[in-house]
Amino acid sequence: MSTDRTSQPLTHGRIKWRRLALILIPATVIMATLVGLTANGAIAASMSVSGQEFLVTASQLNGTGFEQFGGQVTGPAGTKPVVVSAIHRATLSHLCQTVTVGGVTLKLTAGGHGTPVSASNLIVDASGQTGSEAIFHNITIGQDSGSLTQDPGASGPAGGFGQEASSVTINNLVQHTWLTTAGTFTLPDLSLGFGGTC
Amino acid sequence: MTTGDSAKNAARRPLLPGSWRPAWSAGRPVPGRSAFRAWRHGRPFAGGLLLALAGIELLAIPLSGVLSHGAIKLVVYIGIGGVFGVLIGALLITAGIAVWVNPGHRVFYGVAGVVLGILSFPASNLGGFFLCMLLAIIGGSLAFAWTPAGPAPVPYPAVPDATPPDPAPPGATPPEPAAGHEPSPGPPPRLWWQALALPLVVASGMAAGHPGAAAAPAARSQPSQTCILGLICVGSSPTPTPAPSSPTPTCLPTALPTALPTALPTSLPTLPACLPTALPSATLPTPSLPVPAGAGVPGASAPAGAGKPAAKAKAKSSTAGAGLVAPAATSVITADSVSMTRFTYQGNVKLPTASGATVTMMKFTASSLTLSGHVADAVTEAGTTAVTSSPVMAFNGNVVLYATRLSGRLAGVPLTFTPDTVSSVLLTVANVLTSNVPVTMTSVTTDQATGTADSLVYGPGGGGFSVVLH
Repeated sequence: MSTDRTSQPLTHGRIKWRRLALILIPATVIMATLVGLTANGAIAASMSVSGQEFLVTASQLNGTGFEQFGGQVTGPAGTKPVVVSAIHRATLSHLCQTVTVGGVTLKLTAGGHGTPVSASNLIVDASGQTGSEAIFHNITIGQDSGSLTQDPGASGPAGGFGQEASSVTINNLVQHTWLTTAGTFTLPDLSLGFGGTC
Repeated sequence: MTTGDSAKNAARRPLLPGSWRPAWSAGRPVPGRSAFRAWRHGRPFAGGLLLALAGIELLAIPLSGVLSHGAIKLVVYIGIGGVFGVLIGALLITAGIAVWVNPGHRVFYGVAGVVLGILSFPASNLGGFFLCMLLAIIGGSLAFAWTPAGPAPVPYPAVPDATPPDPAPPGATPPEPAAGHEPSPGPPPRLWWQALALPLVVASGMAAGHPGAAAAPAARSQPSQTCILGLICVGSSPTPTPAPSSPTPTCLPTALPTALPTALPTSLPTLPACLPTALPSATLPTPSLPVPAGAGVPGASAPAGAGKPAAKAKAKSSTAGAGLVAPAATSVITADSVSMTRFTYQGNVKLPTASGATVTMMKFTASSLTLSGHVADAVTEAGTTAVTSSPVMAFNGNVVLYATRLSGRLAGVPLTFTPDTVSSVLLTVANVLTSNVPVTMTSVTTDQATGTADSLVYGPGGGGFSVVLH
């Protein structure tokens, strides 16, 4: 008995390849379908990236319901001050974003061919931002960040400095961000690659 | 792998003292790696590990953002979709651990892992940038495909089905202890049903669980949903697909008209009765109330003509009209020059702050206000200064500006306005400032600027701007 057991280790399981194929093949088909539909902008994806600094660029950002105020993010090296931008609905042309996941840098581009990327309930925590031009309509500057109303649901801490506008256009946007999150992101002409910069 | 491990095991065996054998065969814990190996071989270890890793990866990407913004606040703002990834990540980790703890349920956890992995693609950062999705699909499939071989001290329920096959609870004594292997003709029909369950679960999850589809434009979401259903069905099983795929898109339009007439007749008799009576009574008096109040206060105070009511009316109009709350943070706008058209001092007003106090500020109006030359808007709070700089910062249309201090040079003469000194200073330059000719001040500094305008442009014509944090 004991020799039998030791020669054949306890419940030595194995993978049945037919069973593996049985689930892996339909799963792969569904996965490929989802990826394809998302890359065509037919399905909206939810994005929320944080915990590291990454680069986001866009040739043009158009948004309605814009708010901006100061905030902090918690990174690996403690807290870091950021400028928080909340946009209720935004479209981004030629979006490019680099993210490092597990030491590998991924470059994500979308919205390059006519149809821009669209995002809803977008929050971006930026540590730096440049652009060639920024146009705000119905702007309010120097508003207490706790009393901002342009983007329902988003507001900063009371007592902080905030500004808001009913619409915003930023050309040639380059942002260093610590957090990007959006309820929905449609990403037409999505492509993902390794390495490279925006 | 199997042969290699057993060979390794065989090579190690002589090293073990003989007295350990009974403990080994009795399944009692054996110290060291051999015990771990025995534990590892007794369950779909790799599948569970990959599932747990997938969940950790999925959780790690948004976690610090969720924590720093406050999970509940984020959910309220972006909807459950924003933290859906956290939920899927937690479930994947749970599935990975559960398949280790309870290998008897590996089919359920395996399929659940695959489904969660697929759902993570639209739900969370494109499936953790593909990595989580791939790990979860491979891990779930490995867990699904793992089968125990040889004598089985760990219970081996044949394959837990959706339909209750045995009265015995799962994880109890093995139903087929003799063979220990799956009967070869048995699996295909059962497995086909299980494989069918996967696309169905994904399809229903996509249709119902994902809020993004509902939020997307109708023109887009409808073809995408039909596409999903059609493609998923084609991918999984050929026969049942045409039937569900074609009715489903038509299901919504047909379901709604049928649902509405049944629901409406019961609710309508009460609703119309409420609406005509409730709306006029509710809406009409409320507009009528502010109008007499708004018109009545100036109307009543103006004939009175005294200084006090006038000041009161001024203060009231400024606080009510602006709706502004002054921030506690320090802000300074500096520029080489500012050009203003129809620039007018409107008096001092008290702006409320978040703490409930008020700040006395000068109120100016202008039709346009263009700052140019090294324009810098510096905001300091919590020890950090955010500087927005641009060659030109242009306010246009109904510019209202509040400030605690405004200084600069007007025609070479240095001037400083504060709420205390503004009136006396303005007496000397009132004719200049209130003229319709554009006024230009140089070396301008504005403290605690708060205001509104129809539009604001940084770097018009592509002049550029930057936001830098110090």
